[in-house]
Amino acid sequence: MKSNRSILYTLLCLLFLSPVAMASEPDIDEIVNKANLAAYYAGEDGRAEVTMTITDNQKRKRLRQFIILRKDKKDGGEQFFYVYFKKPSDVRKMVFMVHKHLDRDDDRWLYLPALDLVKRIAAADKRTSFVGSNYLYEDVSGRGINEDTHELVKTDDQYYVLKNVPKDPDSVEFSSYTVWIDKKTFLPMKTEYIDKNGQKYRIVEVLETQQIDGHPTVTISKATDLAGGNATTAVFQAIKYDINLKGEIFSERYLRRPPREIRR
Amino acid sequence: MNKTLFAGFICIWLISLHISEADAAGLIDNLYDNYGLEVAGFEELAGGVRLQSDGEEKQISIFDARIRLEATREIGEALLNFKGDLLADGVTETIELQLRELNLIASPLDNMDIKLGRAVFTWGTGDLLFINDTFAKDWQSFFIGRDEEYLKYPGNGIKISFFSDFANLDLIYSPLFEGSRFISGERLSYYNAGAEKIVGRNLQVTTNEPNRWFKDDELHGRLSKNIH
Repeated sequence: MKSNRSILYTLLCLLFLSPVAMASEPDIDEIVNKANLAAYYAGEDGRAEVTMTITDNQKRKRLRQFIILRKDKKDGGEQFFYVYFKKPSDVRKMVFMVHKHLDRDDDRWLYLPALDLVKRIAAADKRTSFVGSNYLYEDVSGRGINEDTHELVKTDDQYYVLKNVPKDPDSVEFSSYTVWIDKKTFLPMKTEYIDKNGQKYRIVEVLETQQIDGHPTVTISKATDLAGGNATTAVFQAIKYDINLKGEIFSERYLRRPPREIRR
Repeated sequence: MNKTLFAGFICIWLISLHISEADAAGLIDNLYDNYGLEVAGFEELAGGVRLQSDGEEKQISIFDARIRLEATREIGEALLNFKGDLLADGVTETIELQLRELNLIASPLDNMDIKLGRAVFTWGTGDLLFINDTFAKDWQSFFIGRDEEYLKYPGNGIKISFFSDFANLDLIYSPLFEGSRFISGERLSYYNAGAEKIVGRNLQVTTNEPNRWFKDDELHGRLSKNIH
């Protein structure tokens, strides 16, 4: 009798405890959501000075230096990006601006100061190189979380490992990608892309993070093209959050005349 | 223009290439820290030769030695811009000082911007030949292979822009009309209807350029709105 009761109590305990134990590990949608917010939506707005060093397969280096302003219209929702180039001299003072939409293609503009020309750019090609680097436009503005099906393939002490398969395979050059998300910060720390032949062809990884204004922030990251043997290292400096950027900055007026927040 | 003077300029240009990057960077930092001047520039040597002879023009299509200097300075909330080229042109055998930009950009009211001086003005949309851009172009520079930047010819004037949620209004007033630099025969040959043949340097198009300030003036206007 005593042993049966103890077995019953043990079973009851397990029954009550197990949902609590499962609730402490987030489900897949929550992980994906939190990772998206951690990577792209920290704070209401932000400013960073970025230096990209592009190294080709013969170890020759090229530099891209720019200042990026971001404003969130809504967490997880629409955003504005303003990218002002400083180096090299052939892209100096050029401005790239994005109005990111979730329900339709982004609106993109490029301003060429030498011609005083505001150019609208087709947003259809999100998977093309951003200013000649190994980062794609989609890496800069973020890939929609509903574009892929997500599957939690492994959980260890440090990471949630997710495998992601595109819902529209013809729209992308990869067949799937695997991402390692840090359990504490929810920052995607490493992403490996598999091409249509099942080969790993691209890696984007975080080399350094820092806590800035209470937000875990990527300060050094690297994108590598394994097939071409070239890579881009991006260093983020002078990062500021919640600087009260006005929405009107992200307009044609300020393409032609960089706002105060760029110069300082 | 003296061939010796021209050769001298090329020598100076070549020698200046030996200014070390570190020295240049140091000078630029110094100018910024002490005078608030943002300075940049480049040097360019461009050469081109015709593979088929054009009876009306020289065999060399372009021979430029160019030094560009750009400077920007904040004056309070306003911005002063300068962009100038020193160009030694081996085809026309001249040395020219070309002022591309000397203007002040300011925002006297919250919803109003002003650009005053010499600048490149554009409000065409689209790619290279931006069909609906009616401001002055330099077709000669474009067709002899100079950088895309030189397709646009700068103008003098004042640009006033008003911004509102409903629409934006841009107005540009130029006190003296400056036309496009067209193909006149000076560097590229063209078909002359009167002579009924292709002509070049020996029959260049001559023009009577407007020269009465404030009488031969120009007003441009644009009303625009972004519709999603």
